[in-house]
Amino acid sequence: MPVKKLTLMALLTTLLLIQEQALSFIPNVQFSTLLILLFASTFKLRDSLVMLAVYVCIDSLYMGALNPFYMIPMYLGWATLPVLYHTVIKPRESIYAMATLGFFGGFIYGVLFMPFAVIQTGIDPRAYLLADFPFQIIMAASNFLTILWLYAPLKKIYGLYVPKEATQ
Amino acid sequence: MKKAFVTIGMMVGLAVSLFLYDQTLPAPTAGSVTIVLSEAGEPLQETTHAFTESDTLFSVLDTHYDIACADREFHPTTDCESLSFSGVEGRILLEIGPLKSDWFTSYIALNVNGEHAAYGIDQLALESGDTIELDLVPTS
Repeated sequence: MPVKKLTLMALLTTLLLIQEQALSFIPNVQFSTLLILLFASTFKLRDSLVMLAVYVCIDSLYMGALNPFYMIPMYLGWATLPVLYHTVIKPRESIYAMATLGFFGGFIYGVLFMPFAVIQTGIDPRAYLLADFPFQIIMAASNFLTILWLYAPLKKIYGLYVPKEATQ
Repeated sequence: MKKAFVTIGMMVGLAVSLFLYDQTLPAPTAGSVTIVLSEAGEPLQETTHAFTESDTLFSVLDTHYDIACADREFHPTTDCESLSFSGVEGRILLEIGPLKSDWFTSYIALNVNGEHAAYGIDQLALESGDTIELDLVPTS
């Protein structure tokens, strides 16, 4: 793998982590989905999945523990985005399709944690989903709006500093 | 223009959803709850406390017990400020009365009427007659 690409991947993963921590005071409001889709639009699926694996590991370390009950659903939740981008969205890239993906991504991310929480704590799945619903809907709306308004202008700036050929 | 309408629609949808969700939650009432302190399921202490409509479980515990909560580094502190943990605002109880957790090898589980609580000490809706168990359990 070229050093330039490796450096870019490390830099962008750091950016993903920092913005999440910087916005952690607002529950479930961050630019992670927007950035993951932005990175997925230039990097190959395999590279995006590697970046997300590093991101989830560092994020889990930073939050206190490498707990598989959090790490696995977190990784699956984030990995859904580049997978769906490359399989469904990419052939006819539309801002509304991406925003809709981000919207449903918010619910998918939340629901993926449910079976792990049930296994770990024995909580009633319905109680978990009911308690998590406001956070899911806030994440879904925040994903939708940030992608709708920021994806296109951000991609222009991103293209200036991260040329597509450097990510291949 | 289309984006603006979609945004307004999304904001309205969000507000309506959260409003409807809020209507499904039980309204706060006054009454009394029984607090059980236990270790690995073995009860150590059981007391009934009255609460008002403005009380939360945290305020009840803070009034009647010596407690310590987690700071940002998960060390116990008696300040018990509400912090954001993984984006969720609230407090993590580390010590109450004889129960002391270091977070890493043990934690204080919150059970309501014999079942794991779906909310923490800041969000749990108090209902008169509930038995709330704070159980010190080792992490598996």
